[in-house]
Amino acid sequence: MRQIITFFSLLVLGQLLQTALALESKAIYKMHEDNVFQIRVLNRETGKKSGIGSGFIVDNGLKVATNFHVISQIITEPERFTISYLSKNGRSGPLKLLGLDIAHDLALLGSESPLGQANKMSALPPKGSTIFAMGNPLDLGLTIAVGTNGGILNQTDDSRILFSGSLNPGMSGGPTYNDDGEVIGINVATARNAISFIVPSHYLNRLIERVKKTPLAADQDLKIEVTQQLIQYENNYLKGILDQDWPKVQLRQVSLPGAISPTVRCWDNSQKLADKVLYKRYQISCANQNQVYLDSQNKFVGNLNYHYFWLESDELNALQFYNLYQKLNEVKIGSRVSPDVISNFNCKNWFVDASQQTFKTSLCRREYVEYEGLSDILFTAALTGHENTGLFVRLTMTGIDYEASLPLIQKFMESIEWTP
Amino acid sequence: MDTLILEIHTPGLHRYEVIDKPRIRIGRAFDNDIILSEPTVAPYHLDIIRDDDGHIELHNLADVNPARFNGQAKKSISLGKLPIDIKLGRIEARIVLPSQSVADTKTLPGNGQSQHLFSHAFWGVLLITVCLIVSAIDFHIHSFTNYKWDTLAKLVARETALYLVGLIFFLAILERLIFNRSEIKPLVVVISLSYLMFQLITPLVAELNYIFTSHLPELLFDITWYAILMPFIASLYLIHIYHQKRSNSAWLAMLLCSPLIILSAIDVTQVLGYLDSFSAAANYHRDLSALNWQNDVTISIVSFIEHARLLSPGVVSD
Repeated sequence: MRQIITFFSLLVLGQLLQTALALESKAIYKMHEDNVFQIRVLNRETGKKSGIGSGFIVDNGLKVATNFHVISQIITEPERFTISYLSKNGRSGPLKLLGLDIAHDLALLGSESPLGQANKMSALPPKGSTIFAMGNPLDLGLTIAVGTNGGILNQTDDSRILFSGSLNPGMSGGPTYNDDGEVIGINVATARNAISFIVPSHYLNRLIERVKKTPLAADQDLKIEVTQQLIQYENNYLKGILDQDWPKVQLRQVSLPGAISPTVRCWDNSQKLADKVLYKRYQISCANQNQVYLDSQNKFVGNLNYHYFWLESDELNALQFYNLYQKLNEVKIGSRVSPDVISNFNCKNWFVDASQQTFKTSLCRREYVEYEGLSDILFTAALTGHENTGLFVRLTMTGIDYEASLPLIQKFMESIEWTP
Repeated sequence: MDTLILEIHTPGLHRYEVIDKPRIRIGRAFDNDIILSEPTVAPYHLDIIRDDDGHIELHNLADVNPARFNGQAKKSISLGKLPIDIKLGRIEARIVLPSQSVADTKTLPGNGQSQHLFSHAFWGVLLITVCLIVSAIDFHIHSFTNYKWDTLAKLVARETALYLVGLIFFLAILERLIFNRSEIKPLVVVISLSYLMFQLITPLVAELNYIFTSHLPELLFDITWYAILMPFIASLYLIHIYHQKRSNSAWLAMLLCSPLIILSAIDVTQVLGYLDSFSAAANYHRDLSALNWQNDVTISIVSFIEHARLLSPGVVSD
């Protein structure tokens, strides 16, 4: 009897909680329905929308915050596209770009006429607090999604808050509120299944302050601005990595760099091989989680991936082993891009001594056509001179300053320790 | 009355007829003294008449494709200085004296051993067996799993034996079409030797690629093998087995090898294109070697970074 009473009590409590949440979200929706907009990227020739997202009024009521990726088309094709807002009650008007924060996927837009009441900003509430994301999913109208704050993710270089709610396409750039209706972040991405990501509001505050001091000029080359911001962010990121001691990971007879940054996660990728196979292979893959959106063609850059591939065999003879070793000497760089936006790779080989072992290294570089100074880099090193032991070290970086990447490659090679 | 010789040029060995009668008629009809069963030859094409004084006259009898004497079309001519070239339709011939000197005897290459090699069934069988053994070794060194012997046998039978038999069969048909005969034994020997040569050179080329950290040896080999070596082998085969003149054999060999030459040109273009083309897979030098012979010196990490600083990005595709 006691169990039945407990069960029904919990059920009633749950219902009450849901009702309370519904009331809270209803109140927040009501409070902000007039200061959250649909942001539209319009084709100048047809007047029709080419892309949509969300945005909200900030600062003095003349500015709108959104995601950079929502309006990135005007960076690549400013002559084709223009930006406008559309309110819930059908009010619309043009917006112009005032400032960008590429690293955190933020854009600040401005209007000539007052837009409404600006949203108040606030710090992130405690982990586990209920938070509310507003936006225009799939062009279906303004809506609100409830979830909890999962805290700031250090694997994203502190640039994302984990949100256990559902963000959908079109909600990007919309505000995320605490239960007082203050903006604690900006909706940015989803990994589906109620795992979504929010940009902390302090990055937006920083952007607003920067725009007040140095707004973008009307005739400014936005691609140069994007490139400079990206290089500055990536260089700081690499410097942070280089300045700290790297943890090591042991792979059979060799000690190698482990997760070299809090943003990097390493996984064992060793595959189970069939019994009849006469060799063993072990694989560790590491990748960072703080990629940066560049544009619709290049998608995300700022990738830092590295893989270790160990191959050994007691049963294959040297000829067999090297036929296999060579066959496995292949790596593709992840980003799928077209020749219109990026140059071909230029590769060069050197035999390099690391830890008294000779590695056949290959370094390849390609450059972004429209973002001069941004490169993709592929570095591989294959252990040579061992009859039945092989090791590949592969490192790829995308959207990075080539010069800045070389110290990382150097430290990588210097960190290899051979243990006989 | 001096005897004369009519030399009729036919593919392979020439045909020789003795002219020792007062009148000899040549043509496609069966009542001629010399019958030339060639469609461009008239039923009665040429009369060779000799009088009691030994003078010889040649009379054209053909209205279509009239006979030509030393390149000129004439109704008749009196035979003067010999030899005289005659053309009857498409057939080329000449009248010579029996005392006409002949070319020096050619020595067979390798003191006749190549003739022996090419024409003896034993060599053919031996070489095919060696090919199959080499093929089995090749499969073995490219295999990375435990396998049973019957798997290897099936692979060799399917991949190599079938390929060699198919090629021999195809070339035998080609020989039949061109020369009206097939020489299976020499064909088997030549194809086996070519296969073995290819199997031997390929790993050497891969080794050169590694030594020089370059794709150039592979490219040079592709060009040399398909555009030079294969036509050269075919040309030698035509000279020795079908007694073709050098110039004829060269042209015919180039013609026979033209599909290979075209394929190799495509291959080389693709390799060059692959190296230059836009690709998400950076085309870095992937060759590795068990011997580990290298032309480049091994440098320190610091020196490597200094060199790397000079690396420029690739070209932008049009």
